[in-house]
Amino acid sequence: MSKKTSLVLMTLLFMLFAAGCWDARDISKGSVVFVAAIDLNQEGGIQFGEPVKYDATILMPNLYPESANKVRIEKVSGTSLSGSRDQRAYINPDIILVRMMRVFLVGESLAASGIAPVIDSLCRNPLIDNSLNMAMTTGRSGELITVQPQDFPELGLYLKVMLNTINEKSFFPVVTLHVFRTQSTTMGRNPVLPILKADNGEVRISGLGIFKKDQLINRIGLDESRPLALLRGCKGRAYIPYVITREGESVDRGTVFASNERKVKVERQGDQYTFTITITLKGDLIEHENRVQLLQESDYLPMVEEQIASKIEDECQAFIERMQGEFKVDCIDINKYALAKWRNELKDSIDGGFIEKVKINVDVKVNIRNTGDLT
Amino acid sequence: MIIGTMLGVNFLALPRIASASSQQDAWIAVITGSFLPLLVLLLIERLGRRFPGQDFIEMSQALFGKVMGSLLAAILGIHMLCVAATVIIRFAYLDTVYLLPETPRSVICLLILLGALYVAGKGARVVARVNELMFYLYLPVLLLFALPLLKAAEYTYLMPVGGSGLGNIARSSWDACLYFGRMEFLMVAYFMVIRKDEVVKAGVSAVTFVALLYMMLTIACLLVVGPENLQNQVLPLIGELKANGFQFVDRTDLLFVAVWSVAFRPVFNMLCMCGFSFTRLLNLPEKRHYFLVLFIIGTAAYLLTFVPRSAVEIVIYTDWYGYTYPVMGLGYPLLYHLAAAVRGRKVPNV
Repeated sequence: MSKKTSLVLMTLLFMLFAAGCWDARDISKGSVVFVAAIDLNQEGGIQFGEPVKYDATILMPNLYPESANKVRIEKVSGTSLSGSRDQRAYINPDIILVRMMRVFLVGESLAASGIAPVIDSLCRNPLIDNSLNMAMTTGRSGELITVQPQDFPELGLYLKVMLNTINEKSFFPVVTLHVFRTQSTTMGRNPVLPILKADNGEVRISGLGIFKKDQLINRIGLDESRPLALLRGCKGRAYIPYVITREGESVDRGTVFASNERKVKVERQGDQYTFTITITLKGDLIEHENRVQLLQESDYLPMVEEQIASKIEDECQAFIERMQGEFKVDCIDINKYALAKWRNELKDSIDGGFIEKVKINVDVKVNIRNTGDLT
Repeated sequence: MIIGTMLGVNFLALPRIASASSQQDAWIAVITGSFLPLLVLLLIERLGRRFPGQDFIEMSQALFGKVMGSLLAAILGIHMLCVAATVIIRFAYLDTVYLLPETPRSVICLLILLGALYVAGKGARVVARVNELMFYLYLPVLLLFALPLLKAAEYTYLMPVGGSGLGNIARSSWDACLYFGRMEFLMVAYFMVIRKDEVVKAGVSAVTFVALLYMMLTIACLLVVGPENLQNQVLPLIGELKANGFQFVDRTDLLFVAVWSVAFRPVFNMLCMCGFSFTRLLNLPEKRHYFLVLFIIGTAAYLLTFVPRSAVEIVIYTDWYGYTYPVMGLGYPLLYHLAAAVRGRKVPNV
């Protein structure tokens, strides 16, 4: 066989195989999953001789233009999480494609029982993107997934944009599968998850779930989410309103749009560990009701900065007290700094009883860079 | 060519292996592990200097006699054949897991082998040129590993530096040095080089490049995934790429795998060296019989890829095979040096 003939044969062979004789997928014959929601099963039942444990609900945009519904929502149950997919064979003729999944929701009861099995199931699938956003829901996530937001093509896009960009408008953590997985399995660290709630036909974020490793132990509202995000060092930009009062009366009311930064210092004297968290807020004054001209009154701006710093500091101190007294887990992610210095000494105690005993100081610095007076 | 031979798929697992004992100090273990290939390089270069104008087969037969020398050369040839098979199967494993889950592994292995045979069949000069070309082509691809650092790096995962203890770092260094293997191909390749005075300089540069690359990849992986989580991932560097999506490339992991899946340089490098060894060993004319010998070697390597039945077996078997690298890489040149020392100046010309 001449070299040319062998080259042509080899090229043909490559083309034949590289085209994907086995792995070719027609996108029009697939159901693309955008959102998945997992709950603990409540109805009970037996499948293949074993009790049913999980309910898995998925949301897929409808690719058939003639169809009346924008999305298709399917719920199946199974004895194991991935095992429940078997049931989809009986209700969906299409191939289920998970590569484009954007958001993963966990029901409240499942979160309380621990979501390590869910994480395991997700991470074993190489097709699933670790940057997908995660959240938990009040009540059952399978019910929340049925809400169709107005003015959005489907819930998946709505949730993805909201959960992924929330830190551009508020101090709030963005939690992806990668973030949750690493934080729930790393010594000294604990994750948080945004809580979603269905409210009058809309889905909104209502707070944060506090986790001890993979298990939900408490929940906080939006007011406490801000100090948590700042203490935790979740970078973002947010609107910080302030009110200046003199002799019990409000004399100014305004807003600063600021970004945040956190620095943590840890010191040790014997068995006493002291953390000093410095939060720096840098931003612009975007609202200021009082008619004081900031360019003329040079003392006024430092006063506003002081007011905001003091308010945030109080919020943070109150949150730290609650964390040490009630949650008893490091949900502000500072243990890692102690481990960075004394890993060998602390590895046995860091996840049990350490955070309650440490002293945590908070120092907030506010720097208003632009007052808007010149615009 | 040294870089091309060392960089296969196994480096994707290196952070896991290196951090198993030394945890946050895995990157130190990787650097210290790179002393093995440097030592192998120097030993082979010194050996080559003793036998100017001869090739590996001639040197073997001169030192150990015709039968024993041929046997030793054949063992090294079979070792390189097995190395080619392990690399083929690791590439096939990567493709099966991430890109072509339904395509039979035997088909993927065959495709890799055909591509490698085509390059190796063109001879050592072409193999060296393809290695050079691919080095520059693939350099930007390695930068993908830096992208997750922009969003997900956690510097405390590297601290305290040296905190895992000397014993653990030493243990991990040994594990890591197995990932710097395949330098033994120089036993054959060295004698093909025309400008032998540049071998040490080029070799040290290549090993330093690979060591620094491995160190940086290990640091990147530690920063993003953390030493504890590394142990749960077979290929943690792919896990590192999966950590974040970017607007311009949503799945950097799949992009990397798609591009890297054809970077099977160690396969054609090893097949080429193996082919030349056996052609010379059987005393066949190179021009007429080299490709035939190569084809037989390729077939044998292909058959070996059927041995592991599952992904777990692939990882276990190829990890086991890693232990042969220090044995062959250090053992062969040391044995030859010893034989040369014993024989002194009585080495006959073949």
